[in-house]
Amino acid sequence: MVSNITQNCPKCGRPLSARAPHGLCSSCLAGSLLGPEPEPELFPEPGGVRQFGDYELIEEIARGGLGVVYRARQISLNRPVALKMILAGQIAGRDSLRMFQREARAAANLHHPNIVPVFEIGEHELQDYFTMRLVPGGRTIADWAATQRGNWRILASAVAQAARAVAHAHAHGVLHRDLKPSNILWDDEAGPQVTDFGLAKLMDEADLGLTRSHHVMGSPGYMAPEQTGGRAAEITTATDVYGLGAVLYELLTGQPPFSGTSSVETMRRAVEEMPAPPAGVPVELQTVCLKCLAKAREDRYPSAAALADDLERFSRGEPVSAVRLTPVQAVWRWARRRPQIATLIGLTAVTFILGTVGVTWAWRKAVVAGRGEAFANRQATSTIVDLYTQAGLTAARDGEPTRAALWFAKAAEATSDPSVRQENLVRQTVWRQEAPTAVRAFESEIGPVSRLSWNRTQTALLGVTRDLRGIVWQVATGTRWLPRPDFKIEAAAWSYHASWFVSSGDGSVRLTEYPSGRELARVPYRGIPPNLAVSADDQQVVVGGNQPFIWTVTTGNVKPLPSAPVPPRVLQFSPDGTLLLVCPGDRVGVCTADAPEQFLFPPANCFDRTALPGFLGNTRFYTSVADEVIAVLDARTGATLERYTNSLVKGGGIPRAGSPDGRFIVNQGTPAIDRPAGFTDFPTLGNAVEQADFSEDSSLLATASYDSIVQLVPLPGGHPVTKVGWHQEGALGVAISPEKGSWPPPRREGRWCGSGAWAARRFRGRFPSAAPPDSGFRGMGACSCPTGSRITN
Amino acid sequence: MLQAGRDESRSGAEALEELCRTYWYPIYGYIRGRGYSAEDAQDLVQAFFERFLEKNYLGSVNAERGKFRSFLLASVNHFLSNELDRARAQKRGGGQAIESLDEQDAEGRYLREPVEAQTPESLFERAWAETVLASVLNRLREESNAGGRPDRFEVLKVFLVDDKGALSFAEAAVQLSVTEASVKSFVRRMRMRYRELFREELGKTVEDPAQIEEELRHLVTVLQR
Repeated sequence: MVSNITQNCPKCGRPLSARAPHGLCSSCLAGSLLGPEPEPELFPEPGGVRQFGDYELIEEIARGGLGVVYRARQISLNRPVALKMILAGQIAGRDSLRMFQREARAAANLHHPNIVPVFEIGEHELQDYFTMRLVPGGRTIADWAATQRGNWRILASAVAQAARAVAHAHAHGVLHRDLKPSNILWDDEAGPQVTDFGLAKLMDEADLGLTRSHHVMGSPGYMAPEQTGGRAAEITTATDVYGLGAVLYELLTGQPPFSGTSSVETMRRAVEEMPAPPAGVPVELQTVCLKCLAKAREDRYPSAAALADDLERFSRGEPVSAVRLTPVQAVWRWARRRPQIATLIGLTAVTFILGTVGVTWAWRKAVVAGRGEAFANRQATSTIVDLYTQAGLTAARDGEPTRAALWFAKAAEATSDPSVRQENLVRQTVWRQEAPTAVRAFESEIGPVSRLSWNRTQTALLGVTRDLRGIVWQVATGTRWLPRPDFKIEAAAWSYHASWFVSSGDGSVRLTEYPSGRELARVPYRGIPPNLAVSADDQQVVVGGNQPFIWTVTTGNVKPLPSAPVPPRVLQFSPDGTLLLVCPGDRVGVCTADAPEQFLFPPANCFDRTALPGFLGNTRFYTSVADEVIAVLDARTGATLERYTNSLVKGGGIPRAGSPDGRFIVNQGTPAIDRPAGFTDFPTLGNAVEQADFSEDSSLLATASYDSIVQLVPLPGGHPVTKVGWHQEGALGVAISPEKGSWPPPRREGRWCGSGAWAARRFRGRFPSAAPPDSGFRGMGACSCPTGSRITN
Repeated sequence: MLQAGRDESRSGAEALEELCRTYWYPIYGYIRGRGYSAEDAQDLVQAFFERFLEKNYLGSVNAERGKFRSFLLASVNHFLSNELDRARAQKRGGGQAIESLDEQDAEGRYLREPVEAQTPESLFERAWAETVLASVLNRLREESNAGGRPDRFEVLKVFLVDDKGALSFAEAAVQLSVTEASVKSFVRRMRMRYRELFREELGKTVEDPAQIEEELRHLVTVLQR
């Protein structure tokens, strides 16, 4: 290393290196961070008056996120004004200055009796400021409303005035974006005065990066859901309708719609929860308020003017246009906001509800017109129970017992009729028994298991942990079986007939007999531990690594594979064992098992290094040939037979597994490919499928994804039947046992699925405090499902 | 406050990515200090961040530990011991590239590291602290020069370290054509903002706001070493 010293710091005398930031001494800069705080400036001195250009600053009257407001007098015109400048202690930062200027400019162009007018924008002595009309009294709309509690019509009328003012701003291309009670002042003569367009954004002006993603704008308790994620593009006039609803809510109840112990907690609630209906408030006004606070923008009033219309109707004692949500609508909206949970209910079923909502709603309205509200509600409830029951029966008929049980449970919960409830509880119990359930958990005390493999007789399950150690469980007992205590392996695979498995690690590839644990053969390798595959006739093992080769285990013969710059990460024999697919780095080639020295054709692309190309039957294979393009190629010639492109879904181009019958290709993200139909949308394969496994007869798919969900999906229908697992750090591995049968499996002759992941000491939400891998933390290895007579005995 | 890892949203991922981009060099310097070649170090930093972002390691930060700096260093060590071979095998094979803004300059910067920064750990800490400092000063300059006064920061920055040195308030006032009182007022605000921005930057890298002061004192010690 060489030092590159140019001069010394004039203050401390230390050498200043060429890396000194802005030519300043790091050590002295560090020193300025400690020590007493600079005295904050007081404008004016207490008890005094300070002159500021053409203004006299009299007293500080408010502080906002971006500025401080003074009561001041404009000397030349001898008039009282409110003067706003960037907060003392903050210099005019780039972003805040721009916002400040926008506020001034936006407000200066708005002329409305309920908008505080701006007089002047300027800079004086390195200090930016603007002046506004001074609203007498110094009260906010909330201060005023506290004296009007219970005067619902008067409160509604005041918010209607504010909404008209906001509508005026919208008409001039200005969004407010930070509507809250403290930004609406109260003038006893003129009514509400909307001010503080500090976050205003001219709608037709290009976004100059003011709302960078990490820059949350607005005030947590009053922020619309679309503001919490910094999604600038989604902030529209509907955001201000939400803000007006939040103001109305506070005027009616005395508190904001959401509050929490921290800003983050408040924002989380704003995104996930429904506000409590304002208690004691007339239902119609409640409905208006909650319509403004709808999570989805399209469910709110279409404009601030429409809101003003409804509030004015209410204040005149006329019926409002907003309609209360029916229970079905409430469920639907909730499901729309919580897609993952809705998934558990079954996406198709939600869609089914959607289809019937219109009918129910229209019908209900007709009944309301004829018979009155109470009767209508009873009828609506009874109809919903019927819908739930019907959905359950349909699911049961389609062989989806888990979904059926869920619908029957919902029907039982919704009804008030004891006999209907009993009937549905019985149905739920019956179908619940038909549903897959976890029957055995395998514990791995050596860490999370990322890959799993069943032996053919389903007597043993072999796993590889993320830190490359092997573990074998005896399925019948759930106990561990270990040939050696330190079984360090990179990869392992069972022989087809389950009498041995092969593993690599510690410099050797070994065949280990199961269950005796005897070592049958070994062959050395050099370099990193290679991955492995066994041919269907148990004769050959292909060994990856830096110098890949095929090892004929019966004779000990070794044949090299074509050399590649990097070790292959995928090795796969074709189902008939004649061909071998090899994927080193970003290429994928095919050779014959008999003469593996050369690829049959120049290797094809494998675009994403996390893609897992593979065979589709004996004559074709798939790979990702370019970003988000998957192709099916002829395994002997390399000719492209089919191409699938999907740019809509991120991750659509990273294949994970192909079904043995060659029909399906599962990708990291949805959608999967159903080859006869192109892209299909198995509704919920989860977010970022990490591993996938098909049953040998292609009737069942199991997936493990980063969003912690392990699922079983019957094919070709594609409706997930069960969420098998739920893990802390994303599901890691999944494998379906080899046992054949039809789906759904007859009771107690089921299949198996394993998944590995962290276990938690304590479950705390989506991102629990899991310890890093080296903390001696006990991980859970695998759980299995569903029924399986060999286990439950 | 390590929200980056907690937040599933796009903004969370972006915030994390931005953190990684900012602190690219300290990791590079550390790996170089561990004896890897320049080329290997670049590959390793790249592979490390890919894995780091892909797995969202940050989501599992142990709350007791709390500091992104310590966590990142521990993660790198873990990565180097466990994944070195794999990383070599997969050498920059695509995926998401996290590149430092000054990747090309990284080696040059590394070569200019003072020889007295002997251990890779101390090198890492110093590089980290300087990165925080540089990023704060850049923000301060941007903010100070907004509003059509690009000379504000250049003229007044010396007052961040010294108020009795080469330049007096009166001279600065002449240069900027404002009163001396305005300069004093601006400098006072700039100093407060400097402290604020520094703490804000640290806030992004610790779990608990209560740890900011502790982390601040630590970095000051490192910079004054």
